[in-house]
Amino acid sequence: MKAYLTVSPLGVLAVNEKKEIILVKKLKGDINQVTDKFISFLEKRTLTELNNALEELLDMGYREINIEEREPVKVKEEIKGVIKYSIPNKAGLLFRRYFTALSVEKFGFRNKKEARRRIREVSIRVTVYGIKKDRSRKDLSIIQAIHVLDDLEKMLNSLFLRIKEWYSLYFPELFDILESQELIIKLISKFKKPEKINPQTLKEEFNLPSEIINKIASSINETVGAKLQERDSEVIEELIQEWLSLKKCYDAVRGYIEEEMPKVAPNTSSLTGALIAARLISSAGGLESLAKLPSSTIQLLGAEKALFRFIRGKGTPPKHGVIYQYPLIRKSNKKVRGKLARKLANKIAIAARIDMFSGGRGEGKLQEKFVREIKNIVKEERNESNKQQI
Amino acid sequence: MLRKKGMKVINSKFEGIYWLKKGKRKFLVTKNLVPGFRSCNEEIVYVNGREYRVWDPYRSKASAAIHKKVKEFPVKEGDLILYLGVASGTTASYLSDIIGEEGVIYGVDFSASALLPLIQIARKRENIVPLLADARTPSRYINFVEEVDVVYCDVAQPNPTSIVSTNSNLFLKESGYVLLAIKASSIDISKKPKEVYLEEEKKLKETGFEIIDSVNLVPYHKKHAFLLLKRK
Ligand SMILES: C[S@@+](CC[C@H](N)C(=O)[O-])C[C@H]1O[C@@H](n2cnc3c(N)ncnc32)[C@H](O)[C@@H]1O
Repeated sequence: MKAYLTVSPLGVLAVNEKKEIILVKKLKGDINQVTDKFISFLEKRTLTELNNALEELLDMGYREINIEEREPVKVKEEIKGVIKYSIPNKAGLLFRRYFTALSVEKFGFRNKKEARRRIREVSIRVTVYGIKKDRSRKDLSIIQAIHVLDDLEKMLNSLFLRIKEWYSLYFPELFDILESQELIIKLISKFKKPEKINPQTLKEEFNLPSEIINKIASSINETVGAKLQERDSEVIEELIQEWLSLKKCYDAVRGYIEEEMPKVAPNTSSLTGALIAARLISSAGGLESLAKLPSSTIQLLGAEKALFRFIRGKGTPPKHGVIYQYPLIRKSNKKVRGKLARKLANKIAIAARIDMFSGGRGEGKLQEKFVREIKNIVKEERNESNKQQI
Repeated sequence: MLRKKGMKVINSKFEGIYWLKKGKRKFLVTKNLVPGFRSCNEEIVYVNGREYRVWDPYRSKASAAIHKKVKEFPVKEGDLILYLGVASGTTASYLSDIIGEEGVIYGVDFSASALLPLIQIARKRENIVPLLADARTPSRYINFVEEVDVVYCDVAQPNPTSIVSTNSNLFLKESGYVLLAIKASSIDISKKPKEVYLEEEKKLKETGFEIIDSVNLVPYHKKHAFLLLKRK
């Protein structure tokens, strides 16, 4: 004998081949308990009332039980063979059509309003739970982190520029000799005034090569800069402290991304590095969205502005977006760059899908393969151009 | 807020939907089911002690369809509606006014952030059941939904016909209606909107729907059409 069964926040309903109701199990408990039960049914595929219903149906002699679900529910090993799944089935069709009558006559609700209230309360709670879970998705934090990182970078650059212009009144040569913003900032913070810069300390604390130290030392004597007054030095120091604290913040956010990305998207991160992978996820709007994009779109992620400019008839079509930051692509010859970008985009599409849908760790393999392919392409290109020269 | 003086509410062609006349201008409105509660920053008007909500055609495709003289609008008091792509519930809140306390809207959307404001609305409007799920996998919400009178679909997806037909097979009662908003650019950007609509209409017919009306939503919604279908 065949039975058909459907589950709802009201409970379990089963019918026989002739659509006659053979079993009803109301979900027991208050609204909180019912909600918890239902969430665990949706997620863990288990529900006490369902298990009881299955046992009873077996006792009643039913040897095939069809459940109106797509994903299998958890049942004892020995009855697995008895259970089938289909959407819709007879029980569900009956339940949905005669909801009003069934909720009162079979599930014991006072009226259809009460029954609908049950459905609605469970749905609101399940949805709130789903929204909360969605918001705790790690890729969403990564996206926020990337936004912050970009803002911090802009702030650091613009503050540095201000400091540079101001300090250039007193010692402009410094900025020709040194490049690293952080080094310059730390140096100014240490010595405050140009004339206090001490070669010994430059060597011991800053580890600068003697060639650079000599340049700085001789520039101090020949500088075209004015004398830095105490009051100016104090204010500049304030700006410098601000820069340093922003930098600390920047490093923390960057560290966060580098630490978390291998957990969020291990394959994509090992292929492109954490930062590029995070930028791709951010541009796509999440790991799932990235995993669903065709590689042709991935290749252009982050180049949206240039793309729209091109569509509006200005400029040339962009060949690559975020992935252009990949060192081997950035450094490569213009001729092969497009080809490399396409290859990398292909690999990213695969990696993101593995990260999203199988969570598997093929870590590193994709990257090795890509680096190998890149080298081949570069070699080929070289041979080509050599031939042409001959 | 619109000034009360010289305003008049008259019935529209459709049950539960009214025109508010103010001089030469007229606005589509519904009676607020939850007086004092604004669902989507809409304009509220009081006439003869009743509270009405202005239904902006630029914000809602259903309102636009009515402005563009759709032949029928098959939503009435007590109806059950399955709403696919309910988002934050702008349109749904007006349907909620029309169906009243005896009706239900099952509102499906797969975007958690879009659905967030709907939760607040559903807490006030007791006829809305929010469901976080993908309209392409009804198995995720089948446990919650009754047989419905109307399927309303506005998902901006490449294959609306398949979404509508799967859901209608499962949930729509015999001879129920489908209201379908079509966004040409979600289906095929390379084709002209009109071609896209015609192709989709053809597919819908082949799937077993009768097309009662099809209105172009320009100028309210560019490159959008609104179809009224009936299940054969
Ligand atoms: C144009 S908006 C709907 C606006 C809404 N109908 C209104 O008038 O207030 C489209 C919505 O469909 C949702 N959506 C798109 N594809 C979906 C799918 N497969 N399943 C569920 N929701 C989907 C999107 O998240 C978005 O909120």
